[in-house]
Amino acid sequence: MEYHNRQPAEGINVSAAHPLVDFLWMLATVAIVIVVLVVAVSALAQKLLPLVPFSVERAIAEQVVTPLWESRTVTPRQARVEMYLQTLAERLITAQPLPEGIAIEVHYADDDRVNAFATLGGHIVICRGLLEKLPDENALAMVIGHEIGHVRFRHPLLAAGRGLVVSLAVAALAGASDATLTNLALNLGGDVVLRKYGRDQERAADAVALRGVVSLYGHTGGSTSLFRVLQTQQNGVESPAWLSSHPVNADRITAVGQLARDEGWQQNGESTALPAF
Amino acid sequence: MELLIFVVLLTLGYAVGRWQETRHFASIQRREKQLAGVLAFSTRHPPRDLPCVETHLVCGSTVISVDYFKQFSAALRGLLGGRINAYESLLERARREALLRMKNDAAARGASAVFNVKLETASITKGARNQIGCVEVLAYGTALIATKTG
Repeated sequence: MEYHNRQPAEGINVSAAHPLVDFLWMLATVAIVIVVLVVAVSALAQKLLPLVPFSVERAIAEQVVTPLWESRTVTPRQARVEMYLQTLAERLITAQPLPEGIAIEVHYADDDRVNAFATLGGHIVICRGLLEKLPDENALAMVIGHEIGHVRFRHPLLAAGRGLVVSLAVAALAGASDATLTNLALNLGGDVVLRKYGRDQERAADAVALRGVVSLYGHTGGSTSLFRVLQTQQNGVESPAWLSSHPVNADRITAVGQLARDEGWQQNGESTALPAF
Repeated sequence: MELLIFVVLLTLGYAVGRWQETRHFASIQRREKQLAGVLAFSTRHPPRDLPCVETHLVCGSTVISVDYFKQFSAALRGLLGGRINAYESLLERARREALLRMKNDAAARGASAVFNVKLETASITKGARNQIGCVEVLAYGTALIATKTG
């Protein structure tokens, strides 16, 4: 008997498709799925989270945020500054009443950073570093008004909720694929999408702030002096808008100027000095 | 920065991996022709009319590792489903290489046929996290060596 080993044809077990083409198709599909998922989930969160009563948000804040304030020691000067900030906030709220049930509490942090933020439960924090940089009360009112705007639109709650939902979605996807690499890709993709919401929210908060400044001082001068401080603070170096949660300052200045023109507000006027503490 | 490292690793994995694979396939095809004289059969029963023979266990084993690009491609496939082309070509190479090494072993002993050929695969990393996967493919069989005095 005659025996042979015939070599099977090439390409039975190996696909002829180019690995890069295959790879790019998969990458595109996964990217689209992730973007759709994140956008859908975020949209749902945007719809549902504002229905959470402010009292619930306040209760969450009691556990998370309040312990930060209880541990610090307050000097008499700090107490005076905090009182002044709170009064300024109340004046802004009187001019533009907040929805039923929402209350603002302003805190003054002895911190060098040029920063201010609003967090869960209507707590607003102004850092000493920023206060020292501000030229007048108009700019300070713009800052506080901006943070009040965030609280008004429930942005801290939306951010916390969306962060939670997105990290859950990413964890579910990454768990299914069992690969840290996919995890990395998902994180990068998700992040850029999320920052977009940040920018829209900043614009909305700017609009509230500007309205408040105008009702207090009769002109929009505060916004100009605030943005000038922020611009010098960054040494003129700005990251592109899609990488940053705050719109590029030039964009913000344009948007604010546009709003002032649309509403017919006076853009310049006398600035009110900050009191000596 | 993280993204940059990732892209560099991916490009490196693709370029080097692709180059190696092309070279390896060419080498496999060349050596398969050279060793065509050594026959391999999966049957346990050699023909009865064979001249007087000695038998010897012969084996060939290969251990292969995936590259960064293949691993990432496979991870994406894991999300979408379907043929993992990246791994298919890799395992094809490993199987054929293992068979070639077994035939080399047989040829060195003066055998012209190997019966009862079996292939075994073992994962070395056993799904450990954060590790590049490795697979061993082992081919073994019984070489029949014609004795001169037969």
